[in-house]
Amino acid sequence: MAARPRVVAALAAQLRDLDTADEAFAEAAAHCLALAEPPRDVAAWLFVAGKRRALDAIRKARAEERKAQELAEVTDMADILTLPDPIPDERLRLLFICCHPALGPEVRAALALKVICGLPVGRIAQLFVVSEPTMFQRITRAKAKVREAGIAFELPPRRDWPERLGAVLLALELAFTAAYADAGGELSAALEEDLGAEVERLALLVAELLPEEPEALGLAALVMLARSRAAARLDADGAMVPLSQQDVRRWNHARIEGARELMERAAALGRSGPYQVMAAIQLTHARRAFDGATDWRAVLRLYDVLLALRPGPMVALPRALALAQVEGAEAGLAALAALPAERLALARPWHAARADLLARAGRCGEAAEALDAALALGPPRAERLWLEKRRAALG
Amino acid sequence: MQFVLMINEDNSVYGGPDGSALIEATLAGHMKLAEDLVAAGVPFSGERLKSADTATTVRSDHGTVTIHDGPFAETHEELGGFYVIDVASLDEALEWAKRIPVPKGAVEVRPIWAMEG
Repeated sequence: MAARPRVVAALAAQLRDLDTADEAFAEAAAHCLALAEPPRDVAAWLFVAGKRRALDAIRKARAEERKAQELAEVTDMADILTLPDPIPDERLRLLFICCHPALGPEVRAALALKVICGLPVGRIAQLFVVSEPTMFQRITRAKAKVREAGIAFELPPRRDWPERLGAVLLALELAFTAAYADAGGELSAALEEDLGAEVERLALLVAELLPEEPEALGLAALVMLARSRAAARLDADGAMVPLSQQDVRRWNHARIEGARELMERAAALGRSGPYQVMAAIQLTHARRAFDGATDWRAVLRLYDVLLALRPGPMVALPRALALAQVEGAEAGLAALAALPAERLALARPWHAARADLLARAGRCGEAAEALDAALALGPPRAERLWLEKRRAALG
Repeated sequence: MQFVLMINEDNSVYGGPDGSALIEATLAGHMKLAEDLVAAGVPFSGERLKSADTATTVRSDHGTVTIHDGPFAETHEELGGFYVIDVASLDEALEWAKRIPVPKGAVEVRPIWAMEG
């Protein structure tokens, strides 16, 4: 449901418990769907209904505390008489709570994805490459720690923001990765909300609140640039269209311009970082809409910088593709050969990249094998259709 | 909300040539901290413990009780003292914990189980 992040965040801020907020929202949402006529303001309705349900449950649990009961009833009545409009935006507060330094770094982003975006645990487990039971246990433990350890349901004082920002940005990056991989909108459909739009809103919110943090601006720009191509990512058959073949007339120029402005502001602060470099790579690609061609040498240089900031095969992989554009397919294949093939065996981009370069080098048999390996990993529909087209073209 | 701040220190740093000066400085830091807690209106208590070689441990295993010489766990760092403070949140407790003078060691912050009703 599109209202989820806002409503869950407002409920959590009021009820001061992540699980209670989550359950209250689920119950209210089920009730809302069963209504003959949808309420006029769905978010406000869900907030009030969720809060009532949670307070009912708390009251039942503490039936002996008559005083608390009376108090709760009074505030409850006040809420119903005046539907909050708009309901308070507590998403940022919730984001910072999920990214509290008292929680392990490996669970912060996962908790944010679960609580704020409502991503299913199985999907989050895939993002972090751990098993579903492991992720379930991590999230359950983190929720319990937030409840028991006395973590405040408040925004941290301003001076602590930069210290916590890394975890907040990582959470957004991972949510964005999940949204971006979902070209065909399967995940968004399952969640009944546009995950990409939600991540963009959150990223812009963080950038707006922390205008002195260049990496916050960089991430917001990165998300906007990726979103600028949303309309060009699928062809008429619903197959994915790779960036280099997208029709630039279908890119959203206002978003590209907005991202460019954010990046200029970030650059003026004089502290570079991985998100700014990633945004710069995407902006270089976006320039094709104005220049008619892609400056692959610039892309390659930026990937070299990114690789130094964030070493790892998932950066080395697109760098090899950029290298192939500059120096030819053989150079790209040589760069791929230096990567740990075993570790990448389950990564579809690895097989897709190999297939691309092998085909360009004229090694069609091996290219077909690489495409088969990618298809065997069960890609989402849009990616599958794209891989199948390439497979068919190889014969 | 009440928190206990447990000070686990490596006492060997107090044994060096500058040891006594370091003890003086640390104690002065604790006095200052106590004054700051009073000034901030934070209800608190706390104690300094004698060293871990004075410890005796009573160990229980399903009804069998044995007594051992020494602390319950042999580690480089030992529990040297504690504060109990009453503040609004973990964040505030962590702020105070950062201000405890510890030349080398760690402060564990734990909420105290609140009695209901």
